[in-house]
Amino acid sequence: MKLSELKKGQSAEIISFEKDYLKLKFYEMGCLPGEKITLELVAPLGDPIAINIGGYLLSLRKQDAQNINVQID
Amino acid sequence: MRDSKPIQNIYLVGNPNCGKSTLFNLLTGLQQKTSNLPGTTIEIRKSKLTHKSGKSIRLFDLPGIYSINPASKDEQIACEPLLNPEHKDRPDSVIIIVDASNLKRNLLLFTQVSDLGFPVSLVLNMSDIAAKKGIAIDCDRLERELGVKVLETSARTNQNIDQLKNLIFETGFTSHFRCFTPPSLKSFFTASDLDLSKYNDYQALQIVYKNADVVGGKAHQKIFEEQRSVEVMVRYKAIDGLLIKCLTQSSGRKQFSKKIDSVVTHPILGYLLFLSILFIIFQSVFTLAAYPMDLIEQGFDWVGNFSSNKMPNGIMESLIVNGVLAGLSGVIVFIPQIIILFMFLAILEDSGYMSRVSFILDKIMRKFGMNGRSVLPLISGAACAIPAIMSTRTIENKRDRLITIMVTPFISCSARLPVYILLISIIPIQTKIFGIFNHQGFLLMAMYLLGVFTSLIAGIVLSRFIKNTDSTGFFMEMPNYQWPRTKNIVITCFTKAKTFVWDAGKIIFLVSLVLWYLTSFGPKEKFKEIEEEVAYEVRMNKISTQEANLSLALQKQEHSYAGYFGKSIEPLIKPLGFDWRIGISLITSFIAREVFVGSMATIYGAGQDDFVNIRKKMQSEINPVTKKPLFSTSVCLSLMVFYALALQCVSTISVVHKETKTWKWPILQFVLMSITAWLASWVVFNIF
Repeated sequence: MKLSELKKGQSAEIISFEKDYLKLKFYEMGCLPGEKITLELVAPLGDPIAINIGGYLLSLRKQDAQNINVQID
Repeated sequence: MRDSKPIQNIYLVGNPNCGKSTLFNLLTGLQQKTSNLPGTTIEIRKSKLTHKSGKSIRLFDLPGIYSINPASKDEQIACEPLLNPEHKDRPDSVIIIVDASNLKRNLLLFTQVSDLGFPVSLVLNMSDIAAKKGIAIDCDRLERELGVKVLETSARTNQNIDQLKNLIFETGFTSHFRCFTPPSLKSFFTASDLDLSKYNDYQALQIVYKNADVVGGKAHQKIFEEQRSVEVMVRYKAIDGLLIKCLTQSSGRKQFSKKIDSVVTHPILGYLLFLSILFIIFQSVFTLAAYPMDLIEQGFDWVGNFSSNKMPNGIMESLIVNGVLAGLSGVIVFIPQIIILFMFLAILEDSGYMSRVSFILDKIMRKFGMNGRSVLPLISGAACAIPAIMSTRTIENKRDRLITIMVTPFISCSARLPVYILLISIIPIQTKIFGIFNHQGFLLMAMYLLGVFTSLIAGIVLSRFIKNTDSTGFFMEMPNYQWPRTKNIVITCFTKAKTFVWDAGKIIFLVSLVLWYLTSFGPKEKFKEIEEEVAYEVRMNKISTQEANLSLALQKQEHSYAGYFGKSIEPLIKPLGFDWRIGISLITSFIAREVFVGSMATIYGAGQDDFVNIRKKMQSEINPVTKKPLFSTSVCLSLMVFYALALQCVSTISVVHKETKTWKWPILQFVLMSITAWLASWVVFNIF
């Protein structure tokens, strides 16, 4: 499933990237295949979302999160 | 050769939000210079540090970056001192500051900078937060593994700041650590196309990346991008290996931050909290600042009266009292408010709350053609549109950035604050709302809200006309909450106030003097005529000497250069309730809006002998036609609305030109804002 489809509080592992679009940027922010993430916050209007990755909180938009395939534990 | 250089350049380099700037503040105090990197609006701060041994170095604070792979043109320029071996302020050594509570991602930059061959040392900042999060770092082991000096600090608790100074001056730096083995490209290039012979392999690789056009154009970009991704993976793998040996972690993110976040990002509480914070800020700007402002005004009253009594009447007295003193008080009286406003903005930024504001407002801002990152420039616009417009460079999306630039000047800046405060304080009503809050605070908030709403509406309108051409992601780190650091905030406020006094203050002062001249002098013949006429009336005993003096002053003012100026625009502003004297102020405000206050003081001061504060002068002014106070409630409100919405600022126009690289946008902005302001003022004048 896609990162954008996770529900608040769910944890998952990053599997792959849909497109190369923004891949390097995601890597630099610590979002690598194999990393565990938790969807920690959803903005009041449903978008953007904030994930806990490697112990810090990263906020991103749903449209960008669609690019990441994840697998729920 | 490096050692023979008289003074070493040492750089602080690190991710955004790693506490780097606070460390810089702690190390340097108020002895710092801020300058823009050439051709950009990216700020780099530097300071000369002298050790007790007498040795000096230059310390630089590079803007926060996540890696040396530049994502935008501006990031590329920020990385320039590291990537360009020919840079004039090339670092001699680099201190990498990392957030100890988020080592993995932060170490990525460390490995890159070390691979570039710089002598480095590593500072694990925010170690207190890491400890609270249950992260234990084996520093000695890390030091051995990396072969560089490692120091744990906390900018928040001042832990090990002295050791950091010693590290800068004594313990030194090493360049042993290598992480990534880049392909050796040197053999592919000859000195004629790209001379790489002087550099190490990783430096050479960066130079090749940068010169993509020399080595083969667009086809290579894709390969380079992939190569960079692979490099980042390799680095993370090495970092993982390192952290297994040196780091034990017991839990995730701080529970404390989690709890706050559940309130701050709550669908109802979150927005209520944000509005309440704004409300508290604006109430405080008014009430807290009132005490020092009264003191300053009283001080100037005293000095003014004193000089007025001691000096013989005439040109010199008028110059000192109505020119110099009026100008000075116009600058100094607003320092308390500027400090208080910047104090709150610094607290919001420092505590980590500002990023949550962007988070909860991103989706809303998108509706107005902007994004969450636009919130900070817009809020900074409450201080001054100029730095705010410059800070829009953090918005990667071109359209969002342009719209943010176009609508930011609608936000009431601190230069409008004196205008509002003056006008609100002379509005002839006295009411308390709910018995405790005075109407003044509410009016001030209304003016700010007017600016905010107008800017958002303008955003919608503009987003219909300006198309979105590029799509870059919206990423934002949301730092853990922390208690704001007093020293950091004091330094921020002090620096901002200093900038205001020097940059805006000298203009206000100069304009006050020019205005004094324009209002005190006019065409010689006309002045002579007036004098003769009044003298004749006195001789004929038609009027008393006192009346003659007043009549002389009023007529001279009307026929002064400034008077002609104001009269020529009067037909245009009469529908808004303004007379030609307000017209003079509107024109002079172009240099800086707060000049309004100084011009009011000078223009309305003309008829009086004593130094009286501006408020009293304006309140006692009578409209010659209606015989009622000139500054009625409707005129004050109309004038405030005009100031809120018109683009009366030469500096903003020039900075928009600089940032958009065309004249089209600033001219359009000026025309649209003027029309909006005129219409809104007209409506307000006719309602109240």
